[in-house]
Amino acid sequence: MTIANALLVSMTTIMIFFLVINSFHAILLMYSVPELWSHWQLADDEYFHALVGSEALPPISVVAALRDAPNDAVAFALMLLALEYPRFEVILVVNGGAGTALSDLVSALDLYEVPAAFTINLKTEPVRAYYRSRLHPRLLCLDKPSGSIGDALNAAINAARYPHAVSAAPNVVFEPDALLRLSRPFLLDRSVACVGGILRPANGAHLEDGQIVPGQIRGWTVGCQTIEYLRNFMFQRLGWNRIASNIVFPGNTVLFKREHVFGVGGFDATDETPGLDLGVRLHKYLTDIGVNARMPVIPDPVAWSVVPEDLASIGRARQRWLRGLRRALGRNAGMFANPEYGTFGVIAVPYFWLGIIIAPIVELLGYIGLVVGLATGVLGSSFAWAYLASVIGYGILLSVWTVVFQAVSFQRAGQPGDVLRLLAFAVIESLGYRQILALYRTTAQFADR
Amino acid sequence: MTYGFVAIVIGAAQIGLAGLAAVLDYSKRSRARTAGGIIGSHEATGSARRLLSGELGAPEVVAALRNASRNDTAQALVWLGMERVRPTERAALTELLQKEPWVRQTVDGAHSLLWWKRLAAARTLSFVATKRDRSTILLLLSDSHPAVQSAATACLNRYADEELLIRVIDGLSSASSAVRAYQLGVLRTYAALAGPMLFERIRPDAPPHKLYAYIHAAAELQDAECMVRVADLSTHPHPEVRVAVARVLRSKAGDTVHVKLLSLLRDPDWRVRAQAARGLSGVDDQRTVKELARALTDTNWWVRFRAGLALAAMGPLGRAALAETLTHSDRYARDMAMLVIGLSEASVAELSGG
Repeated sequence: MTIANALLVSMTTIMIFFLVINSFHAILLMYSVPELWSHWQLADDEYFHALVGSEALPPISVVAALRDAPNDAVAFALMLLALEYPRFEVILVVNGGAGTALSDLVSALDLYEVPAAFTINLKTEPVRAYYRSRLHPRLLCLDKPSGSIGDALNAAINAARYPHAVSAAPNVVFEPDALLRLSRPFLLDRSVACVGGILRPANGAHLEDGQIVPGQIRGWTVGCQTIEYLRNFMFQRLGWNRIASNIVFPGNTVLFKREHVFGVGGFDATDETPGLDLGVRLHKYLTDIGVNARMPVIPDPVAWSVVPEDLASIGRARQRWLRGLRRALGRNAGMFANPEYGTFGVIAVPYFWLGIIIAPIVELLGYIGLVVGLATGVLGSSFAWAYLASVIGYGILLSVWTVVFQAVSFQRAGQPGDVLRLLAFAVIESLGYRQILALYRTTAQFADR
Repeated sequence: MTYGFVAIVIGAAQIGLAGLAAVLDYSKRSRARTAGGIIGSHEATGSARRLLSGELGAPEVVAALRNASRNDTAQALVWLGMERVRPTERAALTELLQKEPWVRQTVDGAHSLLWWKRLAAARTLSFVATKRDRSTILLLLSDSHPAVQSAATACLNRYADEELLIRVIDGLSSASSAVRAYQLGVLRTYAALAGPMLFERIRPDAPPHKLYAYIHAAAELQDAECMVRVADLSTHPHPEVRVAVARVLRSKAGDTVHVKLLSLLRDPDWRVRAQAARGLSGVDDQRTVKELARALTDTNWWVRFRAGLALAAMGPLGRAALAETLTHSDRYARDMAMLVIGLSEASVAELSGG
């Protein structure tokens, strides 16, 4: 085989690879429609509304770790304490380096120290002190001088007293009824192990009658991330619900059972993406103990988060995520294409390897091959057009449909101008932004941290 | 033409997605129509809402319902039922609806393979059910979808007989928590009928998972005879049953219950002991205080925690026992006493409730 032939075969293979991956994305998008429809049928159920406030709702512990000193720890604690739910508690871990967060909380919420008499199911770095609030009996604060986010969440889960827990990252704002929404699948289906909520970018959003209303998106990086969130974290994950192999990451806005977290030994304190790692381990653990559990994602936005606006920060976040995914899948390599793990093993795990971990490398190689092929005359213009249509054009169309689906599905989709703006970002996202992130993701493959 | 397959694959996906976008759009408009047209997000626009305020008569509402989709109509009827439309208007509306061919068509959906059609049938029946629908209600009560089960249970507000109530009671153990909560609410309205049925079923030889559900139903119904039988199950060999007994007995007062809870505080299963400790917080006699103080030395953290909270909630007698435990030889008892003494009264109330 000559070099020219090898290049042609390789480029054709890459083109077919992306045609298959994008078609799979299209199928996920299609599957999200019946999922949304079912959700609406049940969301409007008057009988369910009659249960709100009743004992049928499972009591929940909201756990959060303040590591990076959020702007206002007190405001964050009050936001969590103001959630609408009949029975819940808030466990806040003030982790090493959280600045003045603890003293702020002590003075604003009238915290007093209580003895350390809690069951320790998960090993953690030592907790210096436990505090309760005279103003908010539902609040428990832990002062922990050192340790990672995963370690802090383990300490919070140890101190929690309810069988269900929701993790909250310190940079998110929950919808007031987030817990009610997250608990719904648990009420209706006994086989549910965790429920994931949708996290939406909050840049430009504002509060209106206690609800967050998306505002005009400013900046192309925020716009592109909004498209990414809508496509990857919302509609595609709704599609995964139908394939029954969703992956939820108990690190943020996920309702899970504490007994399952104890079963897998808690969050990995050494991992930089502990939620992602736990999500994969939960799938393995539940299957191994013979529990046929579902991990659905609900379409309602339950929390909002300000996303970074500079490319370097976005790139680092994606690198961290990709390394975390690769590590989690690598540690559980026995799940790959293993029918014992159901559709998660057979469909989801191979997809994560091919469509998320390997795809950025293949994409970059493809661009290089295309330029070389066109320059040397090995590839013709018709091939180039077909290639670009498969890799970029198809992706743009899927992003456009994501925006259309969002606009025709939700009341809070925004004004027509906002939708048009999002459509423009759907195009821009595939023309530059995606390629830059592919570069970040590729470099992440060759570094551990 | 060489790469025509690329165009075919991408084109086929676009056609599929466009079709589904149209479905979503239709669905959103339909929901908005139900909210604005039939139920009425604004008082002036909703025909169903206007029926409640007396502005519209039953014939006009039926005409509005006739023009809506079956799912929307079913939801509007559920809403009308929940909003407690006046009996005279409800009777007039039901009579008219029962004559409508589309109502029967919707109810026939109870046999459909599609769950949303069965849901529409159950929701419609929850407003118009009569004796002749009992076999359909029986079928829907056993449905695999929890939303259909809930809606079918609501039919019992319209029509109920012994067989339907038995089906509900027997299905309690397998129902999801939302359905079970709703079913218990409906059973409570038929307490006089359901009580004896439940009494028959609360027997030591009943399967433990069923017994567990019956015990909670008995507590919900507040049926005195059933609760006597429940108390007798405090020595049942299955721990889950004893846990349920301890949990429901805590809401009951009386000497017999008190004695049972004290004996459950020495149960071999820690979950039973913890529930019993919770139940004893309302009784501040010397013996209870002594038993709870002893429970502070339990091997299980939860039992010690519950016993500590019960003593703290009890008042001066319990607080004195906690203070005494601070010098106890058992380190874990001392720790727990210190934890509970350190809590504010609001925290004790909050922690005791959860």
